[in-house]
Amino acid sequence: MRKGFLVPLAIAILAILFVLGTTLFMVSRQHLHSARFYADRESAYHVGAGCVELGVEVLESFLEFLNNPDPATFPKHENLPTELEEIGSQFFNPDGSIKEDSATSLSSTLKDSLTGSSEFSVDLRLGIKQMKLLSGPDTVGGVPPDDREAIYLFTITADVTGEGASLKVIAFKQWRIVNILLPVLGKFTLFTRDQGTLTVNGVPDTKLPADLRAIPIAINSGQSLGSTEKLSALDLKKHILSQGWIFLGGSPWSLSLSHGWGAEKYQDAFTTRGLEYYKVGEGVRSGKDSRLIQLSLNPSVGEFEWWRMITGFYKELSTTEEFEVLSHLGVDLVSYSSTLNLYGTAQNPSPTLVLGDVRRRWALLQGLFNEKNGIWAALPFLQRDEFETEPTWPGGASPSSVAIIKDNFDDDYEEYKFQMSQVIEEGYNEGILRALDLSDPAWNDRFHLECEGLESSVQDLLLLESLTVDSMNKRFCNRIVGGVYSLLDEDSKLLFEEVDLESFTNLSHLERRSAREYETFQEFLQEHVDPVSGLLDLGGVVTIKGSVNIQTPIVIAIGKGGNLLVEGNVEIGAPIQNPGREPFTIVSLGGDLKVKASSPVQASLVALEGTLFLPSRFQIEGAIASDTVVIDVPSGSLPLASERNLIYNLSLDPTKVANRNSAYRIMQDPGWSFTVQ
Amino acid sequence: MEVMVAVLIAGIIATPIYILFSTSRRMGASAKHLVEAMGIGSSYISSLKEVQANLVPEVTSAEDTSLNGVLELESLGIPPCPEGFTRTLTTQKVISELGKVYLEVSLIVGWKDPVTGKPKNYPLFTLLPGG
Repeated sequence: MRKGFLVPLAIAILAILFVLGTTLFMVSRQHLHSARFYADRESAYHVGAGCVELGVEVLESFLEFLNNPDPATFPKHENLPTELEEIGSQFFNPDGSIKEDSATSLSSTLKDSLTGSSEFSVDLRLGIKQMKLLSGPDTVGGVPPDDREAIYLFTITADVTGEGASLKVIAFKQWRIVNILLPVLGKFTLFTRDQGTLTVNGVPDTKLPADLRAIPIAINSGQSLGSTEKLSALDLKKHILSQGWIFLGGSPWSLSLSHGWGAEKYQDAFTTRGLEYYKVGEGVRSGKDSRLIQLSLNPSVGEFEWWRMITGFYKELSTTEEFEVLSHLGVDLVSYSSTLNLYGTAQNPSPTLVLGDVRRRWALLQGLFNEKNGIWAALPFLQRDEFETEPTWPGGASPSSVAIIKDNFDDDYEEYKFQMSQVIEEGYNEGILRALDLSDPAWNDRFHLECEGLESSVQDLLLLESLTVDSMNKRFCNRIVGGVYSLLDEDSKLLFEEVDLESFTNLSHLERRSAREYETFQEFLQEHVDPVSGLLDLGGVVTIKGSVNIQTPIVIAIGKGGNLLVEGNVEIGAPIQNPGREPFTIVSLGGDLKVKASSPVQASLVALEGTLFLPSRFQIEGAIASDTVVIDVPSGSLPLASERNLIYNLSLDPTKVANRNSAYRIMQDPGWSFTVQ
Repeated sequence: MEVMVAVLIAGIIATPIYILFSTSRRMGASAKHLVEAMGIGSSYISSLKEVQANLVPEVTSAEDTSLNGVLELESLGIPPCPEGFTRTLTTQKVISELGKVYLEVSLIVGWKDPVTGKPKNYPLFTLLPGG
């Protein structure tokens, strides 16, 4: 039994040791392989991460280029800077839109240097993929979808390969491409859905500068004409189409043109028309005036002439100072002129298109002049019974004078009406005709032009093809009021379709664009105000919950405008400077918007479901859109300090293709996300 | 005779077993040092990324312990290398095609193989923006 015991035992022990040794060897080798593998991967990761930084730089430069509003960079796909040309051209479709899915390799000497040192090779690729469109395929609230507004995923992939390990370092982030122009409201300098409590004619007007108490709001809708400048029909149409427009909804607006103390800088544009004389028996009552003609035959009396003139309203029209010429219309009607100078001032006329039931009223003063005796008499406004029964008339006409005049009109009030002073009311847009050069002295010298009185060939030239009201095109001298409106841009692309402007409150097309939500305005400022320069860098659309109170001045960085959607109220107590005239809009989605700053606010202000409060003195360089507007009445006796101006920022105009193309902004998530595969 | 045969057989078999154990120990030690070097290098690069790259000076094959300013280990917030390891840093400012300045970083972690005594190193290369 004991013979041969040691050999098997030794063999068994050695076998066990061999097995153990082999196992240990295998495990150790595996450990070493693993360690090398992970060490190589780590090494590869750092090389890959370094290369990804090169891709980040290229994509950030590309983004900066896309967000640059400089007109010289448009169209973007044709004006790529040399260093971005190779990459950028891969991301654009031939029409200039960004591709839905594309990838391209990036070569770089730095990458080559890095991989040369590390003995890894890297394939660096930049990719873009459209994740989804911001809007659906259908028109919502009258606003058609914009297929350029989308969410994109940008990726930078560094594919690192080497002997030991290969891996991919991927950096990615979302870009949201939005347009910061307002497709409906952007076209309007002033958009008010209803008069509300606004006193339309609230400026106490007078001839005496010392009595100046309030100044009308001068609206400049983009470009001004010279005070006496006239344009051909085509040029005037071009001018109108390039301006910001005005929409005044709700009940009819009758604006009494302002005399503005006779000062051109306060007076409504296209208001006055100087004295025009014409012989008795001529004009609208040609062949009549037999009594005056008969009197003229008497050499001691001399010849009579009719005179007429157009003016805005001022209180003296009802006093003896102006022969009580319109006193019977009531002091209030005559003494107060319009709070809004829709066409700018006589000094800087800025004619534009006014939508809504809006009329302009002006005073037509008429009377008689006798050159021999120097008698200059106005024929006052009279009601029929006053004409027929009153022995004396306002302005001091004696019974004998009254008798002669009545005799001249055959005691017919209807005849007198043609020659008496009165208030004329017409569609507001007919005022544009004062800037129309008809290339014919006979037409140009006419005392007053009416839209329907123009030759049909001229009327055809005034037709606005881009605007339809209840599916009909209108002339720009027409009163443009209807149920639903549609507007095309200058390339005949639909901007909005059949929108009832009066009930227009649906801003879901703006809310869809919003890329971020902030709980407070402070939180927003912390993220978007550069701590060094202090400039506001928005560059897209964001939402702020709650209210916004701007108490410190804001300066908007060039190319970094956008839309600030605020769920609550907005109060602006400090100036907003916009040196690049960027489209910058503050929208109160459901509240009021109150401007307290008298210094310039260079922004577009929207409160479609609330009231826009304006101080007694303001300068807004942008646009205004609200349900109603309330304007503080100036108090005290320093009205000269209360100039009020609304100046349209032409870069807000969405009908300009160049504007729209330059208003696409790309908002990106802060920082990049990294993953390793 | 039987005993002699057994010793002979045991000797023949024990030699490779010894080699197996010996090699395993060396491989284990190598793996351990490599992993340690990876950690030492990686943590250094990570700390370097936290520093504003424009503040990082250009250095050539400098031991980490000899560096001052933002590259001082205390400033970087990392401990010195464990005994037996060294970190050698080289940084160079380079400019990309778009004109941006980068810091090209080369870090070599070195150590001596505890068994063979041969020098070993583990290199890491990367680019840091803003150099």
